[in-house]
Amino acid sequence: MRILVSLFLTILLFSSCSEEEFNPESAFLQIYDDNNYNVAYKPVGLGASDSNYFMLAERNLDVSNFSGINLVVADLEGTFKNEIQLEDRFVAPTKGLLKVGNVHYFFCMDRNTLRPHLGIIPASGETVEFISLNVSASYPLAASLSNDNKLILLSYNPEGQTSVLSDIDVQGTVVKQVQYSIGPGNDVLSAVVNHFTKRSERLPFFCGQAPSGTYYFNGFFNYTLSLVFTTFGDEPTGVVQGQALNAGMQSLLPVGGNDFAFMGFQFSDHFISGKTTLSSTEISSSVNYFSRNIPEIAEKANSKIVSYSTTESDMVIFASETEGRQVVLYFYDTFTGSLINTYYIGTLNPFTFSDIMVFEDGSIAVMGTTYLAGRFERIYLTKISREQVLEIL
Amino acid sequence: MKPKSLLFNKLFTYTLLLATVLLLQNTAQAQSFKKKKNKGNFAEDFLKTQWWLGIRGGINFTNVTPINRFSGFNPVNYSEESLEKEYKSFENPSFNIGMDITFYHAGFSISTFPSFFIHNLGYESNRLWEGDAAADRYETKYSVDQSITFIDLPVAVKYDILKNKVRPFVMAGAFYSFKFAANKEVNIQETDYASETPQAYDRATINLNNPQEFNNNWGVLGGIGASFDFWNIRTIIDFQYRHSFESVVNPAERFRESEFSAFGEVQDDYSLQNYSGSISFVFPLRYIDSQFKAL
Repeated sequence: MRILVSLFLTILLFSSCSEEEFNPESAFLQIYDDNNYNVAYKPVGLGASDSNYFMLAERNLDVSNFSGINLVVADLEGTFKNEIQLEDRFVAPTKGLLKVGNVHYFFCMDRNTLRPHLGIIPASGETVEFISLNVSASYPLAASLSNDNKLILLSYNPEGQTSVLSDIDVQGTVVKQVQYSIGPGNDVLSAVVNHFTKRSERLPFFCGQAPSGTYYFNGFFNYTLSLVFTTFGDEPTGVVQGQALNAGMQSLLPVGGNDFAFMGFQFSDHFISGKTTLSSTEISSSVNYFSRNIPEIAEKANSKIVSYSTTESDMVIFASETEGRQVVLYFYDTFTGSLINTYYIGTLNPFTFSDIMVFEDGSIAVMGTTYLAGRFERIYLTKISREQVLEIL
Repeated sequence: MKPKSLLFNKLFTYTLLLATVLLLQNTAQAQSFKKKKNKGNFAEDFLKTQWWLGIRGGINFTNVTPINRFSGFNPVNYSEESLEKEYKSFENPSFNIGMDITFYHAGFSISTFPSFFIHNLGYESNRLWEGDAAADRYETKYSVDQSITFIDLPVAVKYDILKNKVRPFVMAGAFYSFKFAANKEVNIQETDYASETPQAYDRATINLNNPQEFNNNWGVLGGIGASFDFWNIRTIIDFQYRHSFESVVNPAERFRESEFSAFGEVQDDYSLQNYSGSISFVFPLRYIDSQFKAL
């Protein structure tokens, strides 16, 4: 009898350790499926409010070669809530969603007038409003937030053949603007159109503002795809030149002072730096920063760099996609500039990368597409909890 | 599962186990008291009381009852019901092997069978994509075989209906099972209507261990059986039914990024029901001589 009593006391002891608290919002992988054989989703921007995830996606249009815009809304557990198909005159959304307060913003253009518009997503996610911008007709290429929470827009003016950098408030008023020639006689219109219409020819446009106040953009300047530094003067203050459309910077994030984390490309090769000083007042070339090829990164892959902190170190996460169609996250220490660890998403079905965001609680959300049955391109959203990230590190 | 529900589960489990422990202790005390009372009649007392120890094994079949249904896909423009899994019912055989420990007194026995108890279950789910043309049609079918191994600790009270050489009995009790291992195999079959005539082919079979997807299990059991005595060995054949009331699936792992969720295969919440047939060979532990045969 004592044996039986001991047995049950052991059960009691074990059972007290068996269950764990679980928060379904902390980590998940959700795939948003449409049963239409001919539909493909291409997400471009991820945002989150207190109650929703917002996934801005491109969709094919019958009336234009440019992509229309869909907004998919999910709750904080990633469960689908609703989808809004925006009016098909609005096309070519910029990558990423810009959050100011509880409102998300993006830029797109009217396919009839080529005039850029500001798209506004309220916290409810039930509607999307548009404001027409008082700027010349131009293709919106990239957008970012400035240090004082204004919106920065990089666009291409085909008439003046200039790259246009605009500082715009959330009411859609252009506060300041500068245009730089792409080079007399140079024609990049077909490259710009192909960027919007062909996945294999997309270009790594981006823009932003460094902590020092200097603005930067990766766009056409002086016959090359270049990283241009500017204070909205008549001429750029500095340039990191690419090599026509074949080499240059792919993504970049200021990490303090004149230090930057960046990913660059040289034809089909890629290189990464966790921390390198770039002069914003000199002219240099991107190939100077080519240190070591990372052959697993796919050609023309999307990529984005975000900052991430733990109690022990500050780091950056390079998110991109591999030749094997997995999403890869490289964690680099921003103090030493060295690689800490690498994490992959995706196994059987291909996974591509579109956007990444870091939450205040240290968790990470990654969005992109996966190909169901190997052929149906659908949006996925995955959340990685802070505990999982710390395990990775 | 909500924290409140978890708390209730824990309290319920503790209450059940504590009640069983107290009951066993009371039985032990009563036994001790009875021994003192019947001190003068040792032979009669000896015949009424015995410990048995031996080995046990058998086969079993499991069915699952879905509690909450989930899918790895979030349908944007179609019904979630089309994603529901179809479960096999008591189709995949499995086995259990372990020990048989029994305390017998006056026609009643308290038994436990610490065992490795494997549950094999299976289900299928289907997806369909369609366009305007007849050729714009594509189907997938996921066929899943899930195996879950528990270290099973049941306690049952048996009553011997007859006390002859062949002793039929009925039994009832409860069990608590510790998750030990799990393995899932998913076969993906796809059907393409490219030429309008369906062409099916196997795309992949993925086989991985997935113990993290499950929790410990508990439930009640009941059964019938019979004992046969030859020499000092008792052979016991029994048939049991086990019923769990709560989900054995770990909700924390359902939507976590994994090899399975990456292609839309996630578990429902489900409880387990199981039929098993087992045979035990047990030996008496108290001293036996030619006068006192096995009871």
